[in-house]
Amino acid sequence: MAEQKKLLEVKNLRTSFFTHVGEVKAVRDVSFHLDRGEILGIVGESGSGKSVTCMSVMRLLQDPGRIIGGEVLYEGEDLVKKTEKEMQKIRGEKISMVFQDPMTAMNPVFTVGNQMVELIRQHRKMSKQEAHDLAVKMLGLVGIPSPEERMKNYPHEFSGGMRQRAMIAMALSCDPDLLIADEPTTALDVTIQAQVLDLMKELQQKTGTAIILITHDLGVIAETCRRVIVMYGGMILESGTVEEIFHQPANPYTLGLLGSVPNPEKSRERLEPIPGSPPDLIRPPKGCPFCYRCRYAMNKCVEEVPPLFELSETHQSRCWLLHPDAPKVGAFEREGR
Amino acid sequence: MEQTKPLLQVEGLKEYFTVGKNKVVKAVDDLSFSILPGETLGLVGESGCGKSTTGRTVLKLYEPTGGKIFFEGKDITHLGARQMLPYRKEMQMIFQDPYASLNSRMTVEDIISEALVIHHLGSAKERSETVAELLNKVGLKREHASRYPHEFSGGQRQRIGIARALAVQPKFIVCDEPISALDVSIQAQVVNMLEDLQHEMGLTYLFIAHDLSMVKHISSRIGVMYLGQMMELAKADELYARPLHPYTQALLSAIPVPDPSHKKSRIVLEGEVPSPLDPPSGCPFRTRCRFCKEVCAQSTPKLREVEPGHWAACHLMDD
Repeated sequence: MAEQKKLLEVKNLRTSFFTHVGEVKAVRDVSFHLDRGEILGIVGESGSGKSVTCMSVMRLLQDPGRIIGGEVLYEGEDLVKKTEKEMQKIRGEKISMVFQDPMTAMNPVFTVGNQMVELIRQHRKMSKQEAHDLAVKMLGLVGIPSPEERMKNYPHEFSGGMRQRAMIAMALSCDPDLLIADEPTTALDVTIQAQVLDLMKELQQKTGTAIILITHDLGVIAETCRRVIVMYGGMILESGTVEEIFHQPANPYTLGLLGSVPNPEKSRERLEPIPGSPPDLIRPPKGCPFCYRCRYAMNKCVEEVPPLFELSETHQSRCWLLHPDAPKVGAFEREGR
Repeated sequence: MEQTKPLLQVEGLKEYFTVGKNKVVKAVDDLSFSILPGETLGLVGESGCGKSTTGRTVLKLYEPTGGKIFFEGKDITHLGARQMLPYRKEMQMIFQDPYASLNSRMTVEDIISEALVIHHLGSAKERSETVAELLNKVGLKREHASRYPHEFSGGQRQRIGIARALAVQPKFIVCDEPISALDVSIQAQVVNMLEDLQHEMGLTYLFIAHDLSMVKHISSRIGVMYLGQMMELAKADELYARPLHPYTQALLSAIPVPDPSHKKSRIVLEGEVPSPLDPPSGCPFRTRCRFCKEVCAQSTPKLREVEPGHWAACHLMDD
């Protein structure tokens, strides 16, 4: 049953950037899967490897970045082995992407309509008129008023929120099975963010497109996704359903993240920040990437990377404290398991 | 509340910018508020609502177009650069972008002690001692003083920016989106530090941000701005528990809550903020308001005290 449902399966993905100061291990042994029609969230701070993971899936890595190991199975086919030409057919048609910055993702010297028609005709056998009509329909679908006239506008004539809608319209115009959205609402104001997130959820229900939502905002994850992956230092530290991650977090890093954001519903209490700063990925810690900032760190943590421990069918966490022989830490026991 | 005199008082502040030939952007229009010593006033709103302009005008980095600014009861609205100098020592600012706000060709010591030199505070030796103390206060080390900004991470740079603001021992600091460029785990570190420093040094903050949950966390009172005007002003808890203005209600309902079991009815606003070049007549929010009436297009509602300590500018509150 599980075999049928899986749209994307990433196995032991490793991606590095070969810079002049050394190899930056941006993604270290990442495995996850995505079911058809599901919304999966990837949360992490800058440098955690969340964007690089998705760029690797799309095969959009720029030099000096290279996938150095692992498989990306899309409907059972390994995308890592595809040629650039084969990938061009897959991008846009099967998998498409929405980027963070709606200001730079479009070409400023062509009209929005022009760019949409070009993209549609690249992937579908359509006349200019048909492609134009489809583009108008898509712009209407994402809630852009008077789409026919708006087709003639240049990107700078759109506001930030409208540009992000147009990007989503563009990404969905070839009816992809998978949409990767990399921080799609980070550059937007809260009221516009609410509009865009509602739109994405609505489209996912209507068209059955699976979505990978990358963000650093835990609130956005809680409201939009069904499952979450927490990344840190190029590794997956915890994954599970939103209820598992937010109500029974089983990793000190996840706990730290949750303690760092104020909950507007609760009364004012002191924040509990994570001390220190993220690891240097040229020389990552030998053991757990979080060990130097973790308040529960043991000798073992510095020595060896912990494996992912299975806590339930959907819930996994990478932490030595979950080992049967590990000491039972009071706070972690209480807040976590 | 009546006993204590406000540290900063702003009355009918206006800041207009001329764009092109005859067009005027009213970035801040008829804004009044006051800040008591030791409190934190949060200022929230979407991009383009004039919150940063307010912060800068209050410090007289822009010459106000109209209205009055009082600092400790003295009118500083029309003071010249030289007359402003003693007040500059009392009022400092922390900027949003820790990458752009530090001069990359100066060492940390030079950056932090620049204001001390300008105000002739202490000898060279004393200054360098002050710098070491300040670095210690913001969680950096003495040996960091001889380094350059590019050697630090974003969070550390923001700490340097804070140390610079503290150098002249100000009473009042404008924090213009001090944490929005930082990572989640680092944001909490900086916010806690700002709170500790406030306690320790008796500082007063004007905290400008668009992250509503963080603003609620740090502020004693919050003002909500929209198109250059104050829509609502109340105690932080009060504002979140019982927002009166339809815009505040929508804004609060749009905050994503980090709890999947939290169910709420979201008020999704139609459309976007109108262009400040061509604002609507009457109430600036009427084009997106669910309760818009005829009167809203005709006259601009005044900010008035609807309940003790809770101010709102909306015709719905008129009896």
